[in-house]
Amino acid sequence: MGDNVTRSAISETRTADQLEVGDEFAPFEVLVTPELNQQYLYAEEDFDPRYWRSQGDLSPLVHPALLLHVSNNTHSPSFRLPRGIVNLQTAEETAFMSLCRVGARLRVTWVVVDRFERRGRTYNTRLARVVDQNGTEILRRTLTGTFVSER
Amino acid sequence: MSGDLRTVAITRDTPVGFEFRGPSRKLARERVWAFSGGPFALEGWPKRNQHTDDAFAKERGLQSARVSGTQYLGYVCGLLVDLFEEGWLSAGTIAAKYVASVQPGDVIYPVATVARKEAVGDAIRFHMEIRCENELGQPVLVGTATGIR
Repeated sequence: MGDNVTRSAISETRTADQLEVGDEFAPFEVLVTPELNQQYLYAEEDFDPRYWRSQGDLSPLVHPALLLHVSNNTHSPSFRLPRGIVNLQTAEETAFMSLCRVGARLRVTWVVVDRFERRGRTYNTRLARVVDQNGTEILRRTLTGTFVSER
Repeated sequence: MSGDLRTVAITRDTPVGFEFRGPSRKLARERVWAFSGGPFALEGWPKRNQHTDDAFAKERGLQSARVSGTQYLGYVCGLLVDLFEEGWLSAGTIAAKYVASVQPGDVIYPVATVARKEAVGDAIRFHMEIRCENELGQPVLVGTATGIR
């Protein structure tokens, strides 16, 4: 999961299927409140106390599904698709780098690191990075997907 | 071989081939909306998208709403945190491919199997094969993960 592409200005005008290697999506920022984390616990049906009970002075852990979800590039304010097209995720790789606790303010960035054609479909691969308010890297994830209309 | 998480945790002695199965979960609409519909406090929640709304999905050429793969990838992550404790959230890896679509109402369970063990100093890095299966036993997600014990 390298990060050695040349970056271009964040794309605010093109749709996601048009982006080239080096293009970035606009960053997404989110404060992980107890309520938001617990929303994901309900969604995941995972009520392990480590995700809702403080550990001494430490806040509960953020559920990994929340961290993965916010790193989907559909959360970018600049994410758009042409009418009639959907983005289907096909593969991904994630490295969890640091513990993340409730109360963190996360910033997510994405850059396109690959674009290719396969069986007549366009695919691209994005590198997502999630860092907290201290600049600590929480996770690094590459996401590969394609753009289809099933009609 | 399979293990019930309530009685069996991964240890340095867990053999290659040992399979851990997490609990099955039904992806009820309410849980899909909670995952993909935006924060509960959002006006007009749940946000309409290809995961939350059949009509929206059909407008974009899909037959019906599909569950975000990230939602059940989260099931595997939960299983791996159970196996490797909190350390997995600062040193674990996971890679996945989505091999079949999942609709709201489907029942999914995560599986992790020890594929290989590697000595790393005094610890063992476990290389796991992961998957999610539906209630017919068909894989919907396959991949790999690593964790240290």
